[in-house]
Amino acid sequence: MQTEATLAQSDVSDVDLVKRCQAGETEAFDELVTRYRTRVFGMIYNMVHSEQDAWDLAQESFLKAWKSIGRFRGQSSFYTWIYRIVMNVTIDWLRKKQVKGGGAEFDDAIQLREIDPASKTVPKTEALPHQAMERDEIRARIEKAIGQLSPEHRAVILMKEIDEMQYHEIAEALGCSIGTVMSRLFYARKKLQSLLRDVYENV
Amino acid sequence: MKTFEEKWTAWLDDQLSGRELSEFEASLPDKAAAQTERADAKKLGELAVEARVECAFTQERRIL
Repeated sequence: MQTEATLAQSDVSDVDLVKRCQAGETEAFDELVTRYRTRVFGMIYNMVHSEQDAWDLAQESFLKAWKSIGRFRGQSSFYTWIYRIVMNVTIDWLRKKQVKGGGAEFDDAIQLREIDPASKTVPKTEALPHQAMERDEIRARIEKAIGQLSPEHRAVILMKEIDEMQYHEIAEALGCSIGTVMSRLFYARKKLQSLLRDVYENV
Repeated sequence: MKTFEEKWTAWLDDQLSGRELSEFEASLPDKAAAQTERADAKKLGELAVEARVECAFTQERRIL
């Protein structure tokens, strides 16, 4: 249940909260974290597929944001600014992980199963549990395929397809040109299409 | 000057219009195949969204 204080806090704009953060008010930063932690966690989770790592990276991102909020000039929205920090932190982490060659790309909980070619023959009215399983399989295949992209390609695909961001917003968040974003999208989509052809052709 | 990759991406996302669109489509060696690939890419995007939306809801429940 929200208190009067939190209700009042939720009416405050991001810009005002940032100004208060820059004056050293940690409560204002807490409010910004509360506003964006779900989206930040969701974005990182989509990139790393590990709940614990996503929490750690979200925490690291917010810590970096707090340390550098004095330099935030408000030329973009706070969310775009924090998004850029999140992407930098996450891509750096994925690169280091790739260099070390450590660990599986996914949580053990995410199991891949072969798509049962016979599933289409099951009568539709009785197919709900099977359909649910098929949906899980498709999701697992998509997650696996996205996991096979480079961190940079993974980021642009998630930002474009999931967050529905515009090219210029992605460019701003990643600190690259719009042309680079479009080129990365081209190659990321080509790779996904080759990895998932059997999936989308059978849906 | 946009590269082919940039134009293709813009075309796929319906971001080309007017002369740029007609010139790009005229430059495609096999327009039918390109249209099929575009439809496939859109389908893939929809599948990704569907998968992620469900995933996001699961995560949201865990957070709240």
